[in-house]
Amino acid sequence: MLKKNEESHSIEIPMELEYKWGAGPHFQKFLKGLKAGKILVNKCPSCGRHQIPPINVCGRCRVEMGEWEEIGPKGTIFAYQLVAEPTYDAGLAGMRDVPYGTAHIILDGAPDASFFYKVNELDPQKAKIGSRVEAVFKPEEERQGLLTDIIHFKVIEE
Amino acid sequence: MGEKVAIVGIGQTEHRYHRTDINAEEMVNIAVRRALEDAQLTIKDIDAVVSENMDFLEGHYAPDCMLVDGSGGQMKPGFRIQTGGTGGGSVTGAGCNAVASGVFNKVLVIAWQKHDAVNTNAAISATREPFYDRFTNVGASSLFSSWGSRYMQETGCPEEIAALSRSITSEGASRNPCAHVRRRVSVEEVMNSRILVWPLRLLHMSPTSCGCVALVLANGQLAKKISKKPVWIKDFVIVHREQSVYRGGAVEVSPDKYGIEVAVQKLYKRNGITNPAKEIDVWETYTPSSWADMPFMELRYICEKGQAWKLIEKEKTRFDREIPWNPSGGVVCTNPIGASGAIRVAEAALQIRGEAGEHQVSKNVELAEADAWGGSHWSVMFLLSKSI
Repeated sequence: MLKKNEESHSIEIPMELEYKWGAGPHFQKFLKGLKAGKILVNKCPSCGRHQIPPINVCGRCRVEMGEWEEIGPKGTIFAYQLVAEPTYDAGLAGMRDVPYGTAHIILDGAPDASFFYKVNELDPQKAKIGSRVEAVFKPEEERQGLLTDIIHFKVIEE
Repeated sequence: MGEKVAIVGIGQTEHRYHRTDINAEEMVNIAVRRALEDAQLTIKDIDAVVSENMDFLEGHYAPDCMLVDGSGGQMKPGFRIQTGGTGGGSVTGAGCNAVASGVFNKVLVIAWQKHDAVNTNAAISATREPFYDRFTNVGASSLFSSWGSRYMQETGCPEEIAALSRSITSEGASRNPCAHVRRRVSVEEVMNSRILVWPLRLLHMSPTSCGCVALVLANGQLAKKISKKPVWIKDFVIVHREQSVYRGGAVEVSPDKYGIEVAVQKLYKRNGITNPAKEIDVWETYTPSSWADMPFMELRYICEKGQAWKLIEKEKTRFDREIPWNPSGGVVCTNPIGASGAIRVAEAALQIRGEAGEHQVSKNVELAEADAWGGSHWSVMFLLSKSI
């Protein structure tokens, strides 16, 4: 250990690395769905649950996943969070502006899985369990086949 | 299990926010020396060294190789495990298996994290699944906030209860010289701390800490010779399931169970536990936020669903009361992530020995639960006992 009042010597090395990942056939279908303004997921032929996001197998039943279904774009809030502390957005490589809302959303057609995303509501009283929401997509020409093709979910009255 | 396994040596560092006064290898060496001294063994007596560290938070490759001199692993067999938040539990389990199998007689288990190298939240976000999770991940605080908001709406639990739970935990931490955030905090202080993700406030959340813990494990025959007070690893269960946010839900939507629930059920059934609140004398759980205290107590069947907040309201979770819940101050006061699961085992073992010092619980401890959680919804759950 250092002696009292002895200064500690640290070095700072920033790192910049570029990574490239393959999405795989199932995830790719989901991302291409977003580009087309749709939320496409697959369904387990054994337990019937939907996978958000999809891969080829159901880990619970250990069987190959079955048919594809379009779910949403409307849904119901399962849990809401109001983010007040800026956090790092690793998708866009920068700090996020705060405050903003997020929620676990049960999309219509998939009662057994939640979709976690931004909600443009800052009042927890208006975004409670059971509040109805709808996905707002970017204009078609701006979509890139990324999760961010959905701008946010908006709270709707029904 | 094959051979019986006991903990015969325990050593940990004083866990702190920054340890730029020493490097990682030197920090690990402190805990290793303390564990060996506690077991009254030397590194020559150790057959294998197994370690745990989340290397993406350290920013360098193969940390187990880098610090082989400090760990005592030079020219010995061993391996490193990295399973995220459960890492400290996984490596203790792996060390236990290495002894139980009869392959090694005495194994040194090391779990450590040095959080002062990088912004932890950014590092965790930056290493998540690239297509889905990185765009949405806010870190662990968002998950506990979900549980908090749902728990309040479903059970009528007031916001102050999580603050009270944090205040109760701070008493244990203030009595534990190894704890990181040792300050006593009042309910008002917690309620006045800034909101990170509503309803979760700064003081509801674990800090990022630097620290290391080392355990010496020995087989049954040797353990009785080495130690006057061997602490037996009676049983442990490891459960893995898919990520939290990833593929389905951080908050449980589908009928599938939490990993904790599956681990708890297996552990209780195998060991004939029917009334955990009475039969288990002390709990050292991987609870990184005070908002997780209530669901985690309920998932362990300490009480009925929706009732845990009433136990906290009556302060029954204090270290000197009926259900000593994280008497060391727990993860919410000390979180060198990769080490935290193994610190739980170390702290529960100290309670069984009756050597936890100022934070020793007032009950006689025969049976303790210690666990690691994370990953997410991964669970490694131990039952430790005084006798075998």
